Amino acid sequence: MAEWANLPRDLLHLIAKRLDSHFDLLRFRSVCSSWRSSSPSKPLSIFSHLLISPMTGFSEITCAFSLSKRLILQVGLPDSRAQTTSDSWLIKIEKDGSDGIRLINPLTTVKFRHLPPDFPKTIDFSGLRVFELGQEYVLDHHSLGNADPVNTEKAAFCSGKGDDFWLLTKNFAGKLAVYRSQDKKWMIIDDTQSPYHDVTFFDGKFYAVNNTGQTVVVDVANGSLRAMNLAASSEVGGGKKCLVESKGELLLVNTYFSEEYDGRTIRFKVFRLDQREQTWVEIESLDDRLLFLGDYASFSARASDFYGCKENSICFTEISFFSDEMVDDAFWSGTIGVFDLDSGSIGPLSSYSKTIWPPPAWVSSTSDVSNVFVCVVSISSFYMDLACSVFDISFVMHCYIYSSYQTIRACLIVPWKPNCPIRCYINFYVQAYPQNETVQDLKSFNTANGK
Amino acid sequence: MAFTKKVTLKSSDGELFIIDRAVALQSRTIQYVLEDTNPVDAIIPVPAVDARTLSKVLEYCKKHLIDLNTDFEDYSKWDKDFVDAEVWMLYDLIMAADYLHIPPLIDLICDKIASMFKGQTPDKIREIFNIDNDFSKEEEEDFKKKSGWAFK
Repeated sequence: MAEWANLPRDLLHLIAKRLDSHFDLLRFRSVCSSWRSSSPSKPLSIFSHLLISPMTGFSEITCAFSLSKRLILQVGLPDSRAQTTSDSWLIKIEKDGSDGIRLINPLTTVKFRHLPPDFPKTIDFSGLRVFELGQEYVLDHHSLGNADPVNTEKAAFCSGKGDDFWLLTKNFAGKLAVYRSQDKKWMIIDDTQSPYHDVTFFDGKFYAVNNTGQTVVVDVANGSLRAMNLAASSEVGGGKKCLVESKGELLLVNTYFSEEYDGRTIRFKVFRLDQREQTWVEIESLDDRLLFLGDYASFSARASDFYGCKENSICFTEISFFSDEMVDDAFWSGTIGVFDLDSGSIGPLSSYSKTIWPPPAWVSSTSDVSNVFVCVVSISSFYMDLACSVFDISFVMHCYIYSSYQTIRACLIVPWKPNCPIRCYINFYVQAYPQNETVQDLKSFNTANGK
Repeated sequence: MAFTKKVTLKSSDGELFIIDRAVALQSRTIQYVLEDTNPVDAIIPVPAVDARTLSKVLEYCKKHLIDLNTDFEDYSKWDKDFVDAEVWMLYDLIMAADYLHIPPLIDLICDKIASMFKGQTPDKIREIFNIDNDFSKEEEEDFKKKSGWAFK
C-alpha cells in the first residue's frame, strides 16, 4: 500500500523543489500536513518597477530603467466542477502597489479598468486549476523630466543564485544588451550588423533572433557570461521574427506584412529549431496548440482548453482590427487577430474573446457567496444621497430600480452571509417612507451607483 | 583480489537476481556493500525492495549502463516510457531508488511526480495519490484566506 503522505521528507523536498510555479507549490502544500511541512511556501513572484541602474550606450536620453514582471495564467475549474473542459480563462496579472492584483490584456499592456459587477472581490487560486503559460518582463526606459517612460522594451530574464539575476534585451539600434544584477552593469554585445528582433529565455538559456532569422544562444548558467554560440544559422527571409515555446520546443514565427499603405499582417510562417543541425525547419502544423504573440511576451496553450478556439492558429495584436466602437474594455478583443494555419485566413478575434474578456461565467461563481438575498426597498429622493453614502455598494451584486406611484423601489441582490452588515442598512431603508419621487431621481440613482 | 563479474541480489520476497557487477554498482548502497565486504559469490540481501520493483529498478540500471552510445534523445524517450507507470508503482520505485541510492533514478521519478501535480487542485492530487486530508476546517479556511487575491 503506497503511503504517499508519509513519503520521506527529503524525497518530498526533492519533489517540491521541482514545482517552480507559485501556484503548484501552493496546492502541493495544501494536500496534507506532512507535505506542507516538507517545504516552505514561495511568495508570488511578480513585481513592478524594480529599478535598474542606468548606463550609457543605450540611448542618449535614457537615464534609468524599471523592470516589471507579469504572469500569464490559464485558470480553470477543477475537473469535478467543470461542465466543459474548454472554459479556461486566460489572464495576465501584475501587482498593484500593495496586495492587489490587476488584470491586463494578455497580449498587450492595456489594463482592464472595469471588472464585471459580479466579479469576485478575491479569488482563491488554491481551488482552481492554474497553469503558468508564461512570464512577461518589460523594461521601461526613463529619461529626466519625463514622467512616462520614453521607451518600453521586452526583456528575457534568468534568475541566478539568491537575488542575482540576468537580463537580455535589445537597445535602440537592435543590439543585444546583457545586465547582471550583481554587477549592476550593462554590456552591449556588438556582434552583427543585423538588428535583433526578439529575445527569450528557453530551457535554461537566453536565445535571440535577428532580422534574418539567425539565432544566437547566450548561456549564463554557470554564473558568468560565456561566449555566444550560434543556435541556428539559416536565414528564413524578411518579416518580423518572434520566438515562442510550444510543447518543449523553441519555435520561430515569421510575420509578413502587406506592402500597401496599411502595412497589415498578411501571413505567418512557423519554424522549429533543430538544435543538432543548427537550423530552422519550417513546420506546417502546430498540432493542438494555439500560439499567442503578445507585444512583450509570446506563449502557447492547448487550443481545446479554450472555448471556441481553433487549434493550429496564431493570435496576434493587430491595430487594423480596431474600430471606433471598440473603446470599451469589453470590446478590446477587436485589436487581436487570429491566423488559421490550416486555411491561411486572417480574421479578428471574436469567439476567442470569451476566453479572455469578459471572463467565463464560472469566474463570478468562485467567490464564497453561497446564496443571494433579494430585498425590495422603497426609498425617497430625500434619502437618496444619504442612502448612497451609507450603503456599502460593494456588497450589492445587482440593483434593479423601478418606480411606482410616488415611490421608487430598489431591488437589491446582495450576498447572503450571516453577519453581513447589509441587514441593518435594509432595515433603515424600509423605514424610509416615500416622498415626492420622480423618474428623474431614478436616473440619478442609477448614475450614482454606476449602473 | 578476488573479483567477481557477477553479483547476486536477493529481494525482500526471496527472489534471486544475478546481474553484472557494473549494473549493481549504479546503486551506491550496493557499491558500499561490495567495497566493504567484497563478497565472493555471496548473496546481497535487499530487504526493503520486493522482486517486482527490484526487477524494474535493474531494468533501469541495465539500460543506463549498456547503451552508453545511445543518443540523449533516445534516453529521454526511454526514461519517459519507464516512468509512465501506475502511481503505486512510482511509489515503490522511488522508495527502492531511495534505499538503493540511485540518484538519477530518484531525479527521474521526482520529475515525473512533480509533473503530475502541475495545474492540479489539492482535491485532485489527494484523489490521484490516495491521501487523506488531515487539515481541520479552520486550517483550510486560513489557507484560503492567505492564498486569495484581491483584484483591483
